[in-house]
Amino acid sequence: MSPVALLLILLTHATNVAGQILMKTAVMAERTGSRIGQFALAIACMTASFFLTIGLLQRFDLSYVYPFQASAVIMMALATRVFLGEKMSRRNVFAMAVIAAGVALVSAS
Amino acid sequence: MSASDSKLASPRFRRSALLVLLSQVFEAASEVLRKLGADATAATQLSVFPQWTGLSTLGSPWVWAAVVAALAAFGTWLVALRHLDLGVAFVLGSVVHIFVAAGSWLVLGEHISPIRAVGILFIVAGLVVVARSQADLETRTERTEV
Repeated sequence: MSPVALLLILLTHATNVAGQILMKTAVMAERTGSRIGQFALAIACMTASFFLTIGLLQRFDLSYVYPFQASAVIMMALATRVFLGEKMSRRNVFAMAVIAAGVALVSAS
Repeated sequence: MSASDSKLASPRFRRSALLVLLSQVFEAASEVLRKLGADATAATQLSVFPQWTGLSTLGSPWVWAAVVAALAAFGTWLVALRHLDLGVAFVLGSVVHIFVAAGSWLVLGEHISPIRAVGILFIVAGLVVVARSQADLETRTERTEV
């Protein structure tokens, strides 16, 4: 896989994760104005992720591109550890290693 | 029968679990339809948009069908979550990787090599472990609140 393709895969998942987070903050927002703004931004992020995925699918198999979605779980866990200081249990560290191994096997296929 | 067993056996739980599985079928269908749209428009060079944006596929009916399937997946997921813990839904939801692989093979005719199949199974196993630990956390939080 080329570095550009890898970058596009990461961008696809980053926009998807950003959309999910914005959707959650929109639901929890107290002011109607900020709620509508965050909701619109969430939809924009999810739409970007949707079409970026199609751009990837024009070049790769679906069974190759889709499993990379699981790497978003690892990105989220690392982000919460770095930015929020949340600790991860040994069981979750093991699970992340299994997921990473799975993604590595798919990328090597 | 324990309290958790009776919860799992309740008709409401079964209905919600089926809705989660249905939402994942819609999600897998959306992915397969997107791939069909991507393949149908891959040779199109007339679009003003760069290929990597995926916007050159907007003229494909497959892509619009994929949008409808994605909305159906989102809607059924939200309805299911009304009566199901997010942790449990997440465990059931990880089956989408199997559905997408099956759709890629059966509908798109993609070759899934043994290495790719093992990789997908590793991912599902890892997601189930993460989701189970999330479910345990939710159960402990509920007990503390009670």
